[in-house]
Amino acid sequence: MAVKAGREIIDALNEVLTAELTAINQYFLHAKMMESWGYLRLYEKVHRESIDEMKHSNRVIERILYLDGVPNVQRLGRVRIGEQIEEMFRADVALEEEAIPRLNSAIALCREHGDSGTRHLLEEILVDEEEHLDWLEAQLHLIGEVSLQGYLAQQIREE
Amino acid sequence: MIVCLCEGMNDAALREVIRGGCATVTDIARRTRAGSHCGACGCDLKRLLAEEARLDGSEARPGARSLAAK
Repeated sequence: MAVKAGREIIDALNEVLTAELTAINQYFLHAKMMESWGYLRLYEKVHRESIDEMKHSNRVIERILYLDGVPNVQRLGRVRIGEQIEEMFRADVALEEEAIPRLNSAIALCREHGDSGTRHLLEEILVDEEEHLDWLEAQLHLIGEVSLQGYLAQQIREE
Repeated sequence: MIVCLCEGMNDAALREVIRGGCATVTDIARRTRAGSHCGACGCDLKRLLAEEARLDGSEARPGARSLAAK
């Protein structure tokens, strides 16, 4: 791979890393707020999402190091914290809606430069993010269907 | 929604401060310290200022029309 192409891919991976590190914090704080309010079922799910983002970060950092780049763990994006459950979901949807096009662009860049290893990694992360967005949209749909009160009543017990 | 995580201030509290006379991000920072730390909420503060200015403007508009009619 040409030096310039390598640098472009490292930059793209660092953009993805920034978003992953931001997501870890956002989901983690949302999860802990849910736990403190007693919505233990939601806490478990959202806490798991935060850990998943940490696993993504782990793999992105490994890949940047493999490409002889420096993982930028200093930079964070905007951490959007909701004050009610529905607001939290909408903040998380906004984060995922930004993540998906970013990942698709980085995948296109990898394809252009023939970097199949990075492309494969980003495609796996992309599918995870799409599944998370789908889950979030399903929760907002459920709130619309059964009302917020009805939805929250189902979130008190542990899994 | 929490707008400034550094000061733990939400949009409702910040709108109050804007309605209380803060017209710029610097005014808000002086009054509350929100927006004066990491700077990550700067865009959100500007958005809140613009939204509040628009609300203020839409309330003033009927008065302006009646003056013009005179």
